This record gives sequence, structure tokens and C-alpha cells, in this order.
Amino acid sequence: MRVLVVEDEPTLALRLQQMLETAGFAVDVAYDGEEGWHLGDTEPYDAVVLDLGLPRIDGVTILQRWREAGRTVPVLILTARSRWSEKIAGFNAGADDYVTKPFEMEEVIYRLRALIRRASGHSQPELACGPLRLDTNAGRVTLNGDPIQLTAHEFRILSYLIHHPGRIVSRTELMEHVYDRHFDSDSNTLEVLLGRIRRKVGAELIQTVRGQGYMLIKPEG
Amino acid sequence: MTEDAERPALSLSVRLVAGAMVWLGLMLAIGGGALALAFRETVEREFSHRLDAMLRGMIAATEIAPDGSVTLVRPLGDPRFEQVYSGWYWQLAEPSGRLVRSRSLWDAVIAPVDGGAELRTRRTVGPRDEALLVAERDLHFPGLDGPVHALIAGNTGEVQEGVRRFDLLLVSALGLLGAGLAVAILIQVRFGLRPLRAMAADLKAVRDGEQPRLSGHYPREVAPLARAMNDVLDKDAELIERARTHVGNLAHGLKTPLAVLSAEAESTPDVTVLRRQVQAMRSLIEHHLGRASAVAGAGRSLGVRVPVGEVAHSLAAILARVFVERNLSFTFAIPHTAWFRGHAEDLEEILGNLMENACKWAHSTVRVSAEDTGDGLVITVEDDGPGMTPEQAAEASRRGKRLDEMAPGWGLGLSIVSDLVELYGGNTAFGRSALGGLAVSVGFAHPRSG
Repeated sequence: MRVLVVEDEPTLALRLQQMLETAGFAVDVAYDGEEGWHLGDTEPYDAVVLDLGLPRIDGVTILQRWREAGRTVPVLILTARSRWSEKIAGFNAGADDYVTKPFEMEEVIYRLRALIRRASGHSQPELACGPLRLDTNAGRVTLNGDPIQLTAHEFRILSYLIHHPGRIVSRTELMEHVYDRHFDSDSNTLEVLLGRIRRKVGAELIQTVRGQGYMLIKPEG
Repeated sequence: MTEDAERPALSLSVRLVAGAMVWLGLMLAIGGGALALAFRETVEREFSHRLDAMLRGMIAATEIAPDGSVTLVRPLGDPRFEQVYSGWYWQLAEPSGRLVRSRSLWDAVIAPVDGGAELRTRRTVGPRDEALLVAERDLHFPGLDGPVHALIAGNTGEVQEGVRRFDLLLVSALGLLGAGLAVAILIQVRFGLRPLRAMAADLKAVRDGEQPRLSGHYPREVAPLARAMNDVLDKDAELIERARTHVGNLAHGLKTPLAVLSAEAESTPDVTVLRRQVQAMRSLIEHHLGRASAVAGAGRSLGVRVPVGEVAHSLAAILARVFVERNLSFTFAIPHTAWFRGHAEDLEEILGNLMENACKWAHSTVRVSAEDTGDGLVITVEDDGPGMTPEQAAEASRRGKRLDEMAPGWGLGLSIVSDLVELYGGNTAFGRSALGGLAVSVGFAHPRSG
């Protein structure tokens, strides 16, 4: 899962990036409104954490522009302004949820996971696909009830596939949602990572569709 | 700011003086014109009466000689008829065409006009191009085979001269009168506007900090303005005082957790202590911020009102999105006549916090109802969750003010609501809902009109 953090306060942005990466997200950070708007407009993020008070373009304007351009990415607003009138303004501009500063990192992570889950059509915090289960709140994957150890990249790939079971996910799509924009990757690495995941969860669960991509098999019934 | 707002409006003195002057000038001009016209008419009528009388005298002195020739048996009184080209002439025309003329006419002729036996007057020019008024008529004498045309002419120049002199006199008299009135207007305007200047000076003294409010004794027309001004000043002073208290309280309140934090920083920090202190600071800030931003709405803003239903619905739409997993349903019982008399932001704050709190605790349903009882508005937000007991909620609403025993995230919203409602002069009540959960009612009395 790849998220964009738009936050102009460097310390806060860094902490958010660290915490979100620990929680299993690929994170891009933008430090001003213009960069944030541009990234959100061009990259396929799974969610955005948007500060409202930004230099150059303010958060509400960015959000309005994205929504006008038809970008439906879930947006979590960060704001120091806790009055309801300001929250209403944010929601009217197209926000999906808000967190007031100062906030707990766990709160942000929890809300982000919920937003991403909802955006891909899941209402329960636990996503299940055959023997595989992803507890989105805890960020943990189990196979037949036993937890599996995954590296950060492996977790992101598997998590993305579990969010979209039974659908062919192209190689490009997978790479776009698993790596941040500064990560220098090639498709071989992805192939290698998928190989490792298959060894951990069973090769039959993840199918390679030749020339198209990969698919997590959805059990019948 | 627009250009219009930067340029001051036309001054009151200029308005009053200019208006009066224009009117005065107009009236004097019309009056003067009418007078001059009336005078000229009178003088001219009198002149023509004189000519008329002279003509009658001339006719009385006219006789027919036995040979049929017409003669004037005695001279007319005025010597100017003997003076050549004096401007005063008479002339008699026999039916044969022979003319008998005054000496003053010498050899010139005033062309007679056929008319009849009635007296008539007309204007013409004399032998020296002087303006003449002519009175003439036809006379019938027995024994003559046609009428004798009798005519007398007078120089109107002397009349014009008189009129001109009168006009001059009139203009100077009216001018003097106008100037006198203008001075009177100026004095009156200055005198009349003196209270306004005094008020400006008074306000300047307030601005310079020499006095806290307007102190002058003002006439009836501007006294309400001064009173309103004083109300605003008092309100301002109150707001400033309140804001000052808030800042003071906040600053002092922050010192304790800061002291704890700095003590912690010197030893090995204990994360739970840090967290608790940060939370304490956060609650403190929220509490004071809530009050501070509510201050704007605390003054009963006359004429500002918000439909309760609209705000409740838009908040419900947002909360339904935030709490989408909970599948909550909102029910409303809000008549269209339910208006909140205050700022929209304050109603949004009150309802937003109440509804959010209800959503947190509700099983499945949140109900918002409002009722205008005639002398007040009551808004109730209920949920069907286990949530807080009314006693706990009431306690929570007070908790914002107490730093000790603060549980994070608990009742902060309620505390903001009860503060805000209090600022509006209303009250907050906690009870058991028929739905099974907590019911929070906020009541506002309508401001008495007048």
C-alpha cells in the first residue's frame, strides 16, 4: 500500500514517514502544497495524509482540485484547527476523514488502514481470502491461523493482493503501489519477492497470468 | 477595500450648506424675477393709461372747421409735443388723407393702422428709431364722409430706464438678503453639527486611551448612537478582558505539565509520563481554544440565525462517512421553524460535538430533535448505546476545567459544548434517552425583543 504524506513541518513529516513505513506502507512525502498537489495528481496512491495549513497551496484547495479532476483517492486530513466549522469545510472539499493535531501516530495509521480498506470495498477490519487472513488493524497476516513472517516489501505486495483478491493485478500496478517513488527497482526484484511469498503461503495461491500480471486466487464459495 | 470606501462620503456640513444654498439661490431668483416682471408690467400699464388719457384730451380738443378740416383748438399740456423729435407725438389724419401733426413730429409720419372706433395700443419706432407706444382710435364726426384717425405716441425709453433702475435695486437688495441668509445657514450648520464634532473628539479621547467610553452629554438625535457606541466599547472591553483571562489561564495551566516535562527530560524520560503530560496540555489547549473561538458568538448577535435542521443534516452526512463501519442510522425530529439565534459556527460546534459523541457510543441509532417552545429553543441529541450515565456525562462536561483526573478523549467535546452553551446564556442537561443511551439537551432562551 502506497501513501502520500503532504506535511510542511519536517520533523512531523519525517516521523509520519517512519511510522507509516514501519506499519507497512510505501511512503512519499511532499513538503509544500504545490508538490503535494502534483504528486497526488499524477501518482496512483492508495491514500493521502493531507495537512491543511500548507505553504503555496492550502490543503482545502488541493483537495478541491483533486476532486474536480476526478481523483477519488481517500484523503485523511490533518489539521490543527479543531472547530467543527473547519472540519465541515474540509469534508465539503472532499475529505474522507480527519485527525486533529496533536495526534497519536497509531490513530493516523488506524484511520489510514480503514480508509484504504473501505476504498477497496471491505467493511470489516479483517480481510480473508481462503486460508489467508490480513488483520488490517494490526498489520498482520496469518495462514490457517498461524502468523507468517514477512519483510516490509513482502507484506506490501501480499497486502495489496489481499485487498484485491480474484483480480489480475498487472506488474506495473503492483510496483506502483508497493514502492515509493525514490525506490530504484526492477521487475526481477518483484519476481524474486513474489517467489519468496509463494514459498511462505503456498505457490498455488498466487497465480502468474502470462503477459498480464498476478492474481490471488479466491476460493470457491 | 474598495475605492468607494476609502474616499470619505460628502461631509454633513457640505451637504446641508450646499443644499440650503441651492434652494435659497433658486428661491431668490424666482422671487426677484417675479417682482421685476410685476413692476415692469405695472409701469407699462400706467404708461399706456397716461397715453390713453392724453388721447382723450386730444380728442376733446379736436374740432371740425366749417370747411371740413380738422384742427386742435388748444395745445396739449405737455411741452414735449412742441420739441422736435422729443419722442412724444400726436397726429390726426383726415378722411382726405391730410395730416395734422404735433410740432415735435416735424415732417415725419407715423403710419396709421386701420382699426375702428375702439382704443388700441401698439408698439412701433419713431423717426429717430426710438421705441414708441402708440394709442390710437378712429373718430366719426357728423358732416365728414370718413373717420378721422387720432393717434398719440409716447417714448417708452423713459419707462425702460425706470425699470432698469428698479431691477438694479432689486438685484442688490436680494443679493444682500441672500448673503445674510447664507451666513445664517453657515452659523446654524456649525452650531447644529457641534455635538457630532464633540463626539469625534470624545472618540479620539477613547482611542488615545484617555477615557474608557463616550462621556459627553448628547442631544436626543445622536444619544442613541453614543449609547450604541458605548455598548460596543463595553462589549469590547469585556471580550478583551475575557481573552486576557483565557490567555493567562492557558499559560499558567501549561506551566505545570511543562515543568513535569522538563524534569523528565533531565532524567531518563518515562514515556507514559510524557504521554500523560502531552495529553494534559492538549486538553487544556482544546478547552481554551474552544472558549476563545466561541467568544465571538457570545454577544447576542442580533439578526443572525441558523436553521437547526440544515446543520444537523450536513453533520450527519459527515459523521455517517466517518463512522461508516458502524452502520449508524440518524433520525431527525426538527421542525422548519427551529432556528438557532447565533452564529453558524457555534451551532456547528455544539451539534458537531454532541452528535460525534453520540456516534461514538451508539449501537445503531442517533436521534437529533429540536423544538421551539416559543420562548426558547431546545435541541436534544440521543443515542442507543451503553455509553456514559447522565452523571458521568455531567461530570465529563465539567472535566475540561479540571486538569487532574483527566481521561484522554473523554468528554472533551461535552465540555466544549457546555462552555459554549453557557456563553450563549443557555443550559445543558443530561438524561436517559428512551432509546436506551444518553440524552443531552441544550436549551437557549430567545432574547427578549426590544
